[in-house]
Amino acid sequence: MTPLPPVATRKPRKFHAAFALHTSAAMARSLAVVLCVVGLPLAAHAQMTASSGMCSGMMTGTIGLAIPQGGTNNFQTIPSTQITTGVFGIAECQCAEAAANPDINLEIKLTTALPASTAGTAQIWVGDSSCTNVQTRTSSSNTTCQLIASPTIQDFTVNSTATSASGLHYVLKADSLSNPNPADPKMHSCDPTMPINNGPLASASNSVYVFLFTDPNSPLATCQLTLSQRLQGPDPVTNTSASGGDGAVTINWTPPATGSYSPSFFQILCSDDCGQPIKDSPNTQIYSVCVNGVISRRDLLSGGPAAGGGTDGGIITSTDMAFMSASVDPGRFAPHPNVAACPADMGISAFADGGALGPGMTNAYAQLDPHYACSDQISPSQTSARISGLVNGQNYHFAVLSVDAYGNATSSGDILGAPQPTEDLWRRYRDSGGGGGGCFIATAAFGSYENRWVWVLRDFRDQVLLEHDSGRSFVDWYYAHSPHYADWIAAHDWARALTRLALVPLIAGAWFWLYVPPLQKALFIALVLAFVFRKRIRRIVARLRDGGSAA
Amino acid sequence: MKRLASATLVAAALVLVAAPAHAEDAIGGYPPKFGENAPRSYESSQRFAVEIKFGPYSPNIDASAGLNGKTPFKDLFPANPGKNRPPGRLLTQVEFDYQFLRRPWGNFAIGNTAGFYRRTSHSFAYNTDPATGGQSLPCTPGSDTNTCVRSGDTTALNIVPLSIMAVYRFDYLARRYKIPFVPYFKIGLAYYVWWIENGGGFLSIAQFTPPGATSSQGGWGGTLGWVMNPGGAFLLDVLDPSAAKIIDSELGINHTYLFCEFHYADISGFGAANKMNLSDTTLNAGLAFEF
Repeated sequence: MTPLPPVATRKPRKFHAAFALHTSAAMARSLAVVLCVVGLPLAAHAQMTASSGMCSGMMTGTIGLAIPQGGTNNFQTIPSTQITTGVFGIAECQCAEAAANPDINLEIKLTTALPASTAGTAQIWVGDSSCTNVQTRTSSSNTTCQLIASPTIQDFTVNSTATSASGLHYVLKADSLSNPNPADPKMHSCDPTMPINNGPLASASNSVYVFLFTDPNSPLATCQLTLSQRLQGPDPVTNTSASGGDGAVTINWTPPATGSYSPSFFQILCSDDCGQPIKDSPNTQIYSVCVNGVISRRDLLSGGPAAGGGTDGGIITSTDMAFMSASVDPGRFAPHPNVAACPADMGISAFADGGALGPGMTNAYAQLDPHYACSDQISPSQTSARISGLVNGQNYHFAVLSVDAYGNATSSGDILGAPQPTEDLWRRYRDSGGGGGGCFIATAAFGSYENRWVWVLRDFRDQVLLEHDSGRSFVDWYYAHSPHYADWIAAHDWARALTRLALVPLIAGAWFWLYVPPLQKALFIALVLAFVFRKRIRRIVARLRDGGSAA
Repeated sequence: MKRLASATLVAAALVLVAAPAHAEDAIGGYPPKFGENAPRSYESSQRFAVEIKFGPYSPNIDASAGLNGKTPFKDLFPANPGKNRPPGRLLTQVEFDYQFLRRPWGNFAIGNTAGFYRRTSHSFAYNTDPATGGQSLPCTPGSDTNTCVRSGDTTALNIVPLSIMAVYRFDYLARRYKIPFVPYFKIGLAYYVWWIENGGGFLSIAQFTPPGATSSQGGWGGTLGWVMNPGGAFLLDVLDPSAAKIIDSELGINHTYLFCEFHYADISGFGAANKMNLSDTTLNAGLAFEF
């Protein structure tokens, strides 16, 4: 088993969030005790450079939040009872598509509702600790503090999952962290060739500050959060194996040990032996990864792919996932270059020798290209998954991704598996000469499961009945009751003939439902209704005619 | 199966709710009013019984007609050394009795039983026939056990045993002499519905493999047979008679039993040539409530 390159080279570190509440002397004039809690695990996905093929880098920063009232320097007091649990923020830092255009996605929510009467605007500042001083941050010569957003206080919805960027979701330019002077943007710190060397981040020591002011000169409360950014996903799964099934492969693994940096979910990538995805591209991308020299970022909200500015990269929650859109940007991934010419007979294997790429192959699969995703999210407690829809006898490659709450992914390494036909109990029983199996009455009547008319009913079962609860119930009931009658019908020729006759309207109805286009279907139904109710229609027409003549 | 279980539960619940309505037929006095103690001789009417029982079960599939000594069930679900049948797995059953005739020397009832049984095992992987270049052949255990490679897929056998039985309970000793033991005997017809799932959790279809197969049947069906359950029940009321009295006066549950019964099931289609044999002889144990 050949390990795939990791998303980033840094070893995963424990997220370390320590925050201290600091109150100043000016607190005496305030009734509020404000506790800010900022959960800012910045998941910094560094950019892959073409030369190294690796993701690396580091991002630190300071984010300030001020709540002024009225004018810039008149800050209001927020009753402590209203925000005793404070403001918490969840931010994610990601590299964007281009080094010159990196984004940081910031999300701030309240855990306690503000009173409806609370007015004013909040200010989110990027800067170092000196930004607590109003003169410093408002000075025209300020180069370390930057006001990045001024949403109204009421925009801070409690635990909102709103998709709007207004008030809750902010997209910052990462260069505002590395250098708050927009006139002199710097390269994003995720770029390993451009390390953090200036701006507030250079001395921020991985600290983030959140300031709440009631006095512009003195913060009422200061929350400091030390960030340990993750440049790599959670610990990978171990003890991976694949066992072939009938048109499927079951992947088994051991989840990361308890106490390690555990994933929020798993996802499986699949490739055929030719280096191609085995299924259609997923319509959702739920992890971030470096591909083809750029960061591919998952998109959670309904705004679509976050090309360039992006809309959100917030933490994955079960609620957020509901907003996921069909958002793998097709332009963001080259469609598996150099492997399109792989012959159908698999004579040239992209994965020669069980994992190594063939000559000239670009292994997008090894780069965790989301197009290779072939499973939905898998619960972190699960230890196996069955990937179906494969061709028996062919080799496939699988990778189990451990994905954290911020979309960082770590690969298990390549897992080789091949599906093969299986003999389950029923097949073995039948192969051994046993009898007693059930079949549809139609099968009994027409003599073969493969009869074209039986196929119509089977299609109707699969495409119509099994799509609805009531239909499934009917099928279950039918499965439970029909074998006896089917056996009996199959044993009597006259019964088979009668059953075939009786099934004609049923088959016709199923055929009509399945294969007639909607317009023709509607026209036909209208004609039938017109014929059935022709007398009533005549009466209505006559009445209308009489009424018209009377008028 | 779920619907069946739900229907059974609903029926049981309805009966439980309805049971106090029969209180005017009570023996030994009128039912107590709220806050009153029941008369010493009070006993609510009794019409029904519900049992929930558990036991190991291993269908004798390999005795099915047509197999001619082949053992597909044992092949896939290995038996313990020296045994010819795979070890039993849990069979859970619920029985509902209507006691239509009560006499001093016992009571007679009509009983309906429904249950569920499921067991899984890894399927066999078909082998490649070198002579035909990739043609699949079934694993042939016994002759060459090395060819029996397990697949990553599992196969599941599901059985829903249904039966209708005549029930006789000899509760004379318990009534007359307070001996807390009630022997009973049940016998009746049974119909076992079964289905087999393949690795994808779908109904198995034997139609395309092995090559040359002409049948295409779904892995489901039903087998008719008969069952017999002689057993004995221990009357739990004797452990706490006052509590039993309260339960009777407030819930209408006359008696509670812990029972164990011999379970003989001949489910072979009465000798039919094309039925899966689901017979077994085993023991069941469980709880019974008369109300």
